[in-house]
Amino acid sequence: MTRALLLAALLGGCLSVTAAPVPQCKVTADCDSAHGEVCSDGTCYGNPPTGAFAALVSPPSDRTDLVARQVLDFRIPLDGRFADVQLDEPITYKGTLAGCAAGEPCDPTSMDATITVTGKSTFAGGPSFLGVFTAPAHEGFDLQVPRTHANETYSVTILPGGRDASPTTGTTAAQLIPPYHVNMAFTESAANQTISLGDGDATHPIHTLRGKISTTSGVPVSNYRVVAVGHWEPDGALVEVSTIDYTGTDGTYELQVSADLTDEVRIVATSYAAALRPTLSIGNIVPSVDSENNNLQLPDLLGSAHPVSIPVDGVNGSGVVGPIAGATVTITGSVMAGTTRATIVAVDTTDADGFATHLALLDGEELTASYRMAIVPPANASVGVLLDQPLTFAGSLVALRLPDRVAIRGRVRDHDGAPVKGVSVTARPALSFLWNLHPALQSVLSTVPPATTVTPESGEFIVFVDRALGTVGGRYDLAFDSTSAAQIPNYTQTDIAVPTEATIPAIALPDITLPDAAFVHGFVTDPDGKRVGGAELKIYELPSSQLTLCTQVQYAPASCPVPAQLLGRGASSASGELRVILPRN
Amino acid sequence: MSELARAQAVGPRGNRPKPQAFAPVARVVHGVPTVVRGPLLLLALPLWLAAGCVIPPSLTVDNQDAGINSPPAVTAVRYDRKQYREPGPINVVRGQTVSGPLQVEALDSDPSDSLYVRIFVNYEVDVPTPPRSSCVAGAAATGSVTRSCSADLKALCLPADAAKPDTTLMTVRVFDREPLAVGDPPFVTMADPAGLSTAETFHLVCTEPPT
Repeated sequence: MTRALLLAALLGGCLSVTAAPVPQCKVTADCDSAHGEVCSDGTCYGNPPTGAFAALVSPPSDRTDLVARQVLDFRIPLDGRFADVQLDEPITYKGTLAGCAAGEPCDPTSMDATITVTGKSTFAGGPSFLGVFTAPAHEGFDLQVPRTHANETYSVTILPGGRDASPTTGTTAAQLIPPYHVNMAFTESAANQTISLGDGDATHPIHTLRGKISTTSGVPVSNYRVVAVGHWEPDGALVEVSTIDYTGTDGTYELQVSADLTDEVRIVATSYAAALRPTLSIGNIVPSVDSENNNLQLPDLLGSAHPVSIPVDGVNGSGVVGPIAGATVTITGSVMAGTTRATIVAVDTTDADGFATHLALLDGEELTASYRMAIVPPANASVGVLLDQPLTFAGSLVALRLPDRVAIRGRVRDHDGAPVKGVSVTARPALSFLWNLHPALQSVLSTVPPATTVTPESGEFIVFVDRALGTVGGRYDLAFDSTSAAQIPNYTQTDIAVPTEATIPAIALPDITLPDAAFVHGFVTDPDGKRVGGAELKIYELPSSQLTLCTQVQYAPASCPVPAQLLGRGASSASGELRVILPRN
Repeated sequence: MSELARAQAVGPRGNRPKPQAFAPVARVVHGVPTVVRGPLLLLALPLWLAAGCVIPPSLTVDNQDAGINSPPAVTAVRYDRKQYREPGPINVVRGQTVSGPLQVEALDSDPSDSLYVRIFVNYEVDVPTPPRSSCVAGAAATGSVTRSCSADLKALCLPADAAKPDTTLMTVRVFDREPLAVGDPPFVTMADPAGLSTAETFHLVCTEPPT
């Protein structure tokens, strides 16, 4: 008996030495073969989740000859062995930029520029393509982009270089040649291409906007950088769309602006003088005609620069009131002078004593009355965002107290009910929360780092989130991310509402049971069919409830791009094999 | 012959080793009490385990100085459609909700360490700013030295970043002890002085989001 016990202990000890996962199977009969599982290399593959999937495969960093490819209809057979996923060769598009300044012959060598290429995802809610390329003067451009498919184009924007905040020696391309935008299909590689900028014609006219910056009492204002901002596409970003100019002693400026714009533009003037001055802007400028007298006014009586120190505190995780370090304090104020909006923005981060000390504001009466503060705490703080706080220069140094966040507590268990250690838990604002916020508040929320933590042995977690923003109650998605070695799929619990009442410090969720794992596998290849190691495959579940959400929120983007849900990812081994863990239904 | 043959057949005979425990001259004088057998077995178990098992060599990159911590290493940074190497650039749309997280893969020779990933933008010791994003790669249940985590980049780019694309640097720093918001310098100092960190820095290009 004694010998048997010792032998068993010996064998047991030896088996526990290796940390490798215990093989799930030796033969297919060991797996759930009734649901299609097949044993391969000790793993039961198959029985994948049901639904509609898409995939994105991207190359390793050392394979610059390859680009990512999206697979719109990604099929996972019942046995878990998906078809080889092929990376693409990039389309290369090479050439030179010819700058054609007004009244000058085109110069095909002297212009440097930044070229931004964007393309929409081929599947709903998938990641779009974004490539930013530099085209140095005398070298031209060399774009490497994924091939476009039928009826697909990329948005290409060329921004001439030298868009500095203040003038440098000499005249830059950005001062002479307006940005250029075009939608292009990239179906075949091409070289020796020439793209001309600034040579507007009947179909792509360029117009001139002129104006002057002066004080309300009529004194010309120098040392302002002036540019027009607008949209190249209806749902595009607000970007610079004109040449830039710097005002001299006469305060005048002249901008060349492309007419290939979707709507009116705004002229923005930013000071580069040593003295503190506001940013000036006027809107409703029509870019499709030449126009004069687009004048901006610098208000008189804005006061003088005044250093401000803002102390910030809150109740820390120990229940004690103390300074909050690392909070971002943003103070914004604006006044109107005729049609000109004059805006002051000051931003600083609180130091270890909870003070934001590098803030300078103008102390004119009207401007002071308009100041509002927004304070965003650092990631994982137990205190939340404070918005729309007034500012008085005469006030004492009473600290601004950030509101307590509400804690979301819970415990993570695996499919068998055991607590799981090492799961990363991240609370992200749910779309139903984000898209119910006014765009200005959406912008604030986009600056708040998501709260994240990791589970200990007990599987318990606690993350702190804002109860509300403005009057909109908080709703969050909790993302549970296990390491791939844990053989547990990622999981997201969506749309968790938190109480807005400050008297409720925490909510306790029922235990979170992570789904069982479904293993799928396959190979990544290059266009020649050779297997590629170090490539990454992401498998997405396509959104099915888009219309419902988009009709339930007030401020969804025009295209209402409900993101596809990232179900799992994996990197291919040296042999090119990919193994991805998905949540089983 | 027959004797010789017999002698050859038998050969020289010595004492063969054999167990003496049950020999008449080697009797057990005192029996081992039952209450002692269990603890003895427990004591013997580690010895058996140590003597009987082949301990595989460590596959970690730094195990030469037992007891001394070794820094984690960043093995891959993936975002959107690419794997990135220093110095990038990495293109990020401000406030993005579609592109998904930044995937950081790291290696640490101590499999029991959780790895704390902090993503800074333009962090300077003189102007220390808090991380814009973070994630934690928990210790792997299987004891693997490689770990990964996903950092949400929604708050990575702030409005001012898009205006200065030439000067924006993103640092992905991996700590093997949790960094603190206070300390000298803040946000990168760990409570445990034995903690180590590794960083990779990328040129960050922030672009404005669609409206």
